[in-house]
Amino acid sequence: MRRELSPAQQSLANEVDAVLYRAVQASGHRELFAMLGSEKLLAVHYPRRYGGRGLSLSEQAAVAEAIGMRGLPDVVHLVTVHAVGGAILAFGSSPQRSRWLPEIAAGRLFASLLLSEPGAGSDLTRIETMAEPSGDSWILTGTKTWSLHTDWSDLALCSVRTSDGVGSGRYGGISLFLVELAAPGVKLIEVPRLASPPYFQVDLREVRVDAGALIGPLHRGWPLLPTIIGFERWGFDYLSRGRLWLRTAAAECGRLPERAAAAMKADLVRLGQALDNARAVAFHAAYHADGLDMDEIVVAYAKLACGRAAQSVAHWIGQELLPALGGQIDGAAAVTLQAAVAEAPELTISGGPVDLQLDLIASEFPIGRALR
Amino acid sequence: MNLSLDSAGRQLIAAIRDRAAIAPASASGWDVFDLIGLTPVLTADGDSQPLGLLEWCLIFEELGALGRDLAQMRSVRTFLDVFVWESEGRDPGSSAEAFAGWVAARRSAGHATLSMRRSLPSSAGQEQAWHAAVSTAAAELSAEAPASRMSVDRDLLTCAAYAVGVGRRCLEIAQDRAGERVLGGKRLLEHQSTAHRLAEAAVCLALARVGIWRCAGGRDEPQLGDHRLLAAVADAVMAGLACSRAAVQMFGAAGTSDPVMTWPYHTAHGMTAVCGSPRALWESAGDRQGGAA
Repeated sequence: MRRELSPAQQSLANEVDAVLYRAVQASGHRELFAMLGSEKLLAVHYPRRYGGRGLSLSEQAAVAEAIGMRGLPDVVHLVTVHAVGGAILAFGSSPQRSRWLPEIAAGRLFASLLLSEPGAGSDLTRIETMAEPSGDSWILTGTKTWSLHTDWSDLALCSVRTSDGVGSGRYGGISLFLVELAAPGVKLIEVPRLASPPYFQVDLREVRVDAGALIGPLHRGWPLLPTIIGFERWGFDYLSRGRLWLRTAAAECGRLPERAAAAMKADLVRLGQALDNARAVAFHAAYHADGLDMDEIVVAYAKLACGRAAQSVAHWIGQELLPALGGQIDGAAAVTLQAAVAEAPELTISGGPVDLQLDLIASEFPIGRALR
Repeated sequence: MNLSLDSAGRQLIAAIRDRAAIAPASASGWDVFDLIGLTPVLTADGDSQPLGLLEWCLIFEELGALGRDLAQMRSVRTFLDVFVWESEGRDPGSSAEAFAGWVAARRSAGHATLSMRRSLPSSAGQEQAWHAAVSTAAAELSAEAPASRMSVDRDLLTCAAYAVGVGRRCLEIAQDRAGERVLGGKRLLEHQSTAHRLAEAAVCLALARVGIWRCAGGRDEPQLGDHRLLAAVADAVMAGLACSRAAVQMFGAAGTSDPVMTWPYHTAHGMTAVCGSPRALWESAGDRQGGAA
């Protein structure tokens, strides 16, 4: 049993900190990612020939956490490096890996997932986007939704129907393609949300992709999706946000009258404990990954614990702290705390709703065995 | 981070499951530990090293899951804790033989005796006090003494581990029951609301265990006296309660009166008396953190 980061993990986290510390204040997020990429710190679990360091997923977890703690948009990192990059690494062809992974690892290319569709929510089998063969190419037509930071992205991993799936149920006939978002026929439509940044709807109108853009087997892309989404679901992005919110909240508590601040102490300890426990489970899930494969039940615990711990912090900020502060807050702290309140509901929805995680956890016999 | 136990931890758990389960209900704490084969370890006999706090937590979780009486086990552990690890300076290498004889003499003389008080200030300034153990003469410790605070914290954490064990027993009973009972033509477990209720309790329990292990594992002492220890205890008490409530739901109207559920339900609630209520524990944790700052 190891309760804390290993020396190797801690060293990587320190490297991330050092790079970001050296960055000039004015550097934008894209530049910061590129600086991390130039030091091979964005995707340390990729093989060296693809721009990584050939390390384990648990070491990458320490990097992901450090990036999030520094306030970089960890969703970008998670989706680009883990979900899309992980899909290419695990299921892509050698030419696909050589073409895309070094760019991703260098922080020069960002990517999105285009899986959900209007009315489908988290049911990723309910897709109507079609891909029709056309010579050596495929023509994609349909609409994808709930995609974040898509305006950053150059590339997307898109699920489509390549056959009607007759005879193979709703899971059959689904294929995965890499789509370059600058291609003719791709249109991004901003969908405002309470929390920033906005979602994007992505319309695909007769978008041509070549046959080499297929990831995994034709018509049988569904079995790949749990793994790909699993990369996204382990919860580190929630943790880093939750810890940032709690740190900001604790500092603001110090501005309250002594009696009011004292009343908050127990809550701060409780919320911090929940984040720390969730963090331990998330690192445990990464530690036991077999290459890129993680135990889906342990990941369900991690995702649920991380999302809920961060959500509890956000709820507490909205219910207790902000009313106690009575509007006596401004500047960066106000932005951070109000973002927490706005984002709270999504923390147990994005990356798969709570129901899916609970289904997985309840499927064990005896229940609870995965974490004992 | 890796929450998996090493082979020694797994072997310890296996030994408890195999042997403590067959100990009669009337067996004393010493008898149970004898049966498990822990006595030589407990008394640092021969080449054995004394158990660390993590091992004690593993033992107490298993004892809770097996439904053993807490008071008996706790008195033995606390006896050893206070008289060995504090009084004897935790130096088994130099005093193992003497200590083994010392323990044996007191056991045979019926001196498994300890009275211990713990103060747990709440925000209202109230104090809770408890007495652990069973006898007549040994030591009275006040919460002010640094040594007693360490002993009290170790005791609290092992009791919390026991609460997790009780919760686990509840969850296992609940899952068995939900697999057998039929409602509306299908097994209770096949109803999503039931499955999710059990999963929620399992998550609560797993996180509570993580909190205990984080406090107990590896470097024991720096964690003692820390506000996180009280936070971990609060989580464990809460988890035991959550699991007991989930389990009772599986028994329908029979609820807490079903013989299978009576002991775990009431024991889970009894842990609030042993450890303190979760709210009081959180408040004490907040006070400790404030004091540390």
